[in-house]
Amino acid sequence: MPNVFDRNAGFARGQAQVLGFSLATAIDEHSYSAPGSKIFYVDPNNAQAVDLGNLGEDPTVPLATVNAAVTLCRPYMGDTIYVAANEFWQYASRAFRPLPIIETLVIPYTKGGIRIVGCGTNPLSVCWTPAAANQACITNYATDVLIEGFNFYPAAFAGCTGIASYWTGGGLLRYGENLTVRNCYFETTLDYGIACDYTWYCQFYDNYFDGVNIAAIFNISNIGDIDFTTIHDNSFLNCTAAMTLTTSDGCFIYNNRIMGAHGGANNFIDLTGGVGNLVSDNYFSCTIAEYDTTCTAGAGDYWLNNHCINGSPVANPT
Amino acid sequence: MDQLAVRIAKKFKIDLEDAAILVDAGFTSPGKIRRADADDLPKLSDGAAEKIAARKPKAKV
Repeated sequence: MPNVFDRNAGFARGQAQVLGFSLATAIDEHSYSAPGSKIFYVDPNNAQAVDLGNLGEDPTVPLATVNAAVTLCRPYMGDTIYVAANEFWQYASRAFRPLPIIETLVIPYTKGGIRIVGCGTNPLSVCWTPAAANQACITNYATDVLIEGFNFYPAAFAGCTGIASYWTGGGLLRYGENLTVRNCYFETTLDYGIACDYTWYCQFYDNYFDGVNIAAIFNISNIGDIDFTTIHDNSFLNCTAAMTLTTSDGCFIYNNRIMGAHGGANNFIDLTGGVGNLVSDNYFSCTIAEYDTTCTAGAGDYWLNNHCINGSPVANPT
Repeated sequence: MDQLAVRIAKKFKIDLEDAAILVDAGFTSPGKIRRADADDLPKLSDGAAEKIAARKPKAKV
């Protein structure tokens, strides 16, 4: 078995340990479709890890922070940041690699097209906490960023967000759309899992949202909506709200599993004020009668083949 | 072409000319347009004004 952090061994599907072996991973994409690209290694548990002086391209002398790696990345060159696993998770021994990523990372608009990948056996083994309460682990202002394989776990900090992304245009240098978030875990202490404002064409899939306090996927909507978003194959367990996507248009929401309180108002999928969304093949832990309470469709939405515990509703939820 | 106008035209399904009028008047985002009173918006073609009026936020029940 090649060492995941051996720069010269190459990577192949199944070796790199990122969840989602049956799907494309950032490692596949890096190896096969990005000539001239660079890999930057981040491992705060490596005694040799420092930001100043290390180039980050040798896994034996990695960088200490993702922020330093982002600074080194070039936009749209296929550059990928590999973040080593840690055992900061609350139920791990913390005897060997106890340090999580402790960063409040901002990806500036100059870093479009980069990939940030947690390299654990599953996303829970690459814990990431912000540096303080009421912060986001990652705030993204760049286009076409991919984030994969992390456990956003603020531990002792309240009021935090896993990933926030913003598009404003108008010279404000925020272009954080076309964002892909996959194979990530969002932990109970978060207020928001993924929160976006005016970001279009994002893709959120194969994520697990575990009891997120306010909303797992949230449309901030200060500037605009998260239109044309594709959200599929995610699991939501006991989140206060799973998808709060009010006034969003043109979204595809399918194959998600939402387990939670039966009668919560709009606590599953809220598309109030939206237009033309397709919501299909989702599983809800509520009855058909409760579907109108837990979900709200937008105007001109099509809700098809969704499944409740006593059958499939035939009409859009109101 | 102005990104903001293009996005507003796409969001509200209005002509680019109407979207450009909105941007020129300072209504540079869908959120700002939705929250504005109808009387405060610039003069638009009838169809555009109706489409925007239809997207006003509604009180949740």
